[in-house]
Amino acid sequence: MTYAPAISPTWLTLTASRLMPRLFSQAESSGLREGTGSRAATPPVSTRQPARWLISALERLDFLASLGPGWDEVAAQPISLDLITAAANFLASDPVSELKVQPDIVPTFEGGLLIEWHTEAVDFIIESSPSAGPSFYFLDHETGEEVEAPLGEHLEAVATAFTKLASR
Amino acid sequence: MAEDPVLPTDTAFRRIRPVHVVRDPKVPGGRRASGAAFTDDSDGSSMSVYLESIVLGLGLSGVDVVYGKPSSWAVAAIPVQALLDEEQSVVPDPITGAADPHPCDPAHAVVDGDKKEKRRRDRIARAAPLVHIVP
Repeated sequence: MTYAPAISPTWLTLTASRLMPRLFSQAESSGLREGTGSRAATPPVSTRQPARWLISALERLDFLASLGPGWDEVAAQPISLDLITAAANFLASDPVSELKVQPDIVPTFEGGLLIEWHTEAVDFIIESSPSAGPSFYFLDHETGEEVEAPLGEHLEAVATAFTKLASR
Repeated sequence: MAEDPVLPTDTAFRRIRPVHVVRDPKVPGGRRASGAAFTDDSDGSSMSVYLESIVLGLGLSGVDVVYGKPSSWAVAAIPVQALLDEEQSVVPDPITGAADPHPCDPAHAVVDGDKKEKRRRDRIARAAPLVHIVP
């Protein structure tokens, strides 16, 4: 499992604590709770396992990396190895990799990637583009909230999206 | 001769590549096109569609839109009204004299308008069920 460093608000470097502060703080505190004998002195160790979809998601990225110029039989751009690697790191990071809902990974004609989760409750799409910074789209079907913004802004919407995805 | 205007009640068939099909439990069949499929073409030309009214007038159906396409290609049926709601305009663009003719060429149209926003593309995608997938 890969933990990306927290350097800048790109999806490569977004950590779980930034994406899902509530969930992350719960996991972290569970390993540091006082009054549990030796456990309190033990560094937090996640006992959760990556979801089964992770392997197929990484295979999908391998496939997308193989798309050459003009993969749409017109003028679509290939997806850069940097974006592929960033997406793999993001998906493999804890706790994104523990979500039960499998994301779909979709190429864009300009050589970008969309990571999409669609459930009864939410539509959540993260886009990484070679020509612009990463961004996301979130639609909460339970509240009607709709947000489209650069990744790194509206973190409360991102946290809500992942919380709802994690609760399934 | 000017083309007939496209009616809001018409449907625009869009060919969907297998890489652009995503899971969505909210739609019948549990699969639909990603918003990534509803952008202008990679060569900069406007998004291509085929108008159902003309396809039917040719004695064809939505199935014929993916004529010659391999397995897993799909057809999304976009209500023209949904495109108008997203500030798109649908313009008839019949193809004539193509080097590699397609049976639906007379029904070809283009969808002009800004498609940069993900919310716009995804709203179009949610309104456009897959009506056929090449077996």
